[in-house]
Amino acid sequence: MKLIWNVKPDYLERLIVMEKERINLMSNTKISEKNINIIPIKNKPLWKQILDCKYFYIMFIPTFVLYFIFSYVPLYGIQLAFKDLNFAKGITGSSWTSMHGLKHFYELLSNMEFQKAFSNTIIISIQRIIFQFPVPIILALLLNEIRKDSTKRIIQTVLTFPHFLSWIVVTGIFFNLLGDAGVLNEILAALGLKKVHFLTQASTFRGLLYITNNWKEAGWGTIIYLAAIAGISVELYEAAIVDGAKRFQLMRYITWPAIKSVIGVMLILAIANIMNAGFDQIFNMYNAAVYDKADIIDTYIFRRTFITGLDFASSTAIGLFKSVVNFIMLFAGNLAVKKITGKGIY
Amino acid sequence: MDYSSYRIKKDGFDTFNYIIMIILAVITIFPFYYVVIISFADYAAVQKHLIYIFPTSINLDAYKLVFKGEMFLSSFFVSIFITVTGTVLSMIFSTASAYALSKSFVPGNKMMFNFILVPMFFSGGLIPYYLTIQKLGLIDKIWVLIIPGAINSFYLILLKNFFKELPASIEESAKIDGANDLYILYRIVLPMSAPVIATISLFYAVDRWNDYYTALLYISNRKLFPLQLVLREAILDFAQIMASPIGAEIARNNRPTYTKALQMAIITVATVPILCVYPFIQKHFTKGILFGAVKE
Repeated sequence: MKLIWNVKPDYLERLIVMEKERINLMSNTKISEKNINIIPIKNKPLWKQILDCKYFYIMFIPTFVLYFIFSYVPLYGIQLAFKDLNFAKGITGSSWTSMHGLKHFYELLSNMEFQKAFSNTIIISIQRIIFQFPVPIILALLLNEIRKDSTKRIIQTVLTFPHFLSWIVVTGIFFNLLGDAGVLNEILAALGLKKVHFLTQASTFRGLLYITNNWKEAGWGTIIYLAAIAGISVELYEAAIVDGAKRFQLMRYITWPAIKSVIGVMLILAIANIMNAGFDQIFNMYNAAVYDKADIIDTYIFRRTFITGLDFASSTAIGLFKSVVNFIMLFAGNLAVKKITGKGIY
Repeated sequence: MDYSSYRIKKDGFDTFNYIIMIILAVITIFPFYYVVIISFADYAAVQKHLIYIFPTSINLDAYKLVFKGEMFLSSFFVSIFITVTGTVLSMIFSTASAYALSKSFVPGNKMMFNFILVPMFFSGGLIPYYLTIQKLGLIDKIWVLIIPGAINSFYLILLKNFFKELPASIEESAKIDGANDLYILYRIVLPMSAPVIATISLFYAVDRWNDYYTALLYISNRKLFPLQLVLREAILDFAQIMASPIGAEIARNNRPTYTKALQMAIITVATVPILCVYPFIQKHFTKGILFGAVKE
């Protein structure tokens, strides 16, 4: 759902439609000259335009206030990353750290636990792109091949539902299935096999992450691709069928090109999110036994800040480091996808 | 959309596809089914069976315990309160500003849009945000669960794109009749946008209902815990629950209560409200959200 803001509406087309509607309006109803300028036209003086739009500004006020307080004011706290926090003096009063204010960054980069979390984050993110990213695409293509619309809708409803559950609920559900007394282990025991500790065993934990994530999100992920497919005109398919195209040729030459650019955009966003390896899921599912394989930057920040010690300054530094890497990845991902598909998000 | 029903002949692929879909549907449903049967299960009955897949016993003890526990009931009401209040507030704010943003002729429109866009990429991070909340005195107040996250940028942009696609002529004729923009929004535009309003409301409501993280960070008064946080303790930290009034109740009962049934009962209760609303709104998803999303 994240690609919306990139899609530029065709302003020209809209303007033409608006103009046509206005002409219709004028010819159908007799309106006085004065009333035609309902939409403020650019040739009015600016203050008049602003006055005409006063209600729109009023509508925007609550959003403005909320964003200002909760998104812009905290930006000022970023300087904490370069300071030694002194609770008595506050953020502004605290002094800059040694090493030209970069002490926290040096400390972090030489911290073993952070290095581990950093590499885990990257590995998990990349593996997510391999094991999770293609699943909704394949699923959407398969769903599209279902003949009956009603069947398609029922299956879609079922597959989308888990998206609306919290990770806590999903964790509970899978503990119930895969725990030591869960149904899977009962089956293993009944077959005379050894029980597997899926949840507390480092070697299976990452696999578990991808499987449960696919279970929860794959159905939801199809929506964006199905929408792109829905935009293809049926005539295109019919013409191809008349020309003797088979099912897989239709898929390859009509459906695939239509969703290719959507896949590109989704891929850029996945790459830009490389530093967020899925906090919500891991935070609820992991445990001390699997830290070695599953501890990511976000869970590490959380523990460091709220559990092991109130280390606010270096946690801010990690947060800043993360944002910067994400930002670089956004540009890099965009560049790469643009090279491959010829189309990026900006 | 449904091109295959036109001319393509049925072949083996169809059968294969149906089998795959049925397997996927079963995989999706089975975990829920198992949660529900365990929540109603009798400890003795589960012990007797090697694999407990078909329910052979009905035992309401777990639900009785859940609804008797004060902690659970209060968290249930906290969750309902923040979901209802939060969704209403979010929708009022979001529809108003999305409508304003959808009018590109408003001077400063681009600036207003960038104002929303920038925080999606730059954020202060966890700690500066925490310190801001602390300074505002919102720690341990129920409003911290409602106000700071009242507007979601993605949903705002979805709404904006939707409003942009609406025909301008109706609004214009209302304007000729002398209606102001606020009146037009709430009396004319919103009733026309029912599918997208339903969809976005569902998203906001589900986000609220599922939110545990905000409460985990900013709420320490157990009376203000939302359901998801209680559920989190019940699943990840069962000792907590046993130390709470529910645990005392279990101890007083002095009979082997199936603790797993208790966990599964809480999961069921936390899921049912979503299950009740979701199927009715799901059909609007494609119509509602994708209207502006994938237009090129």
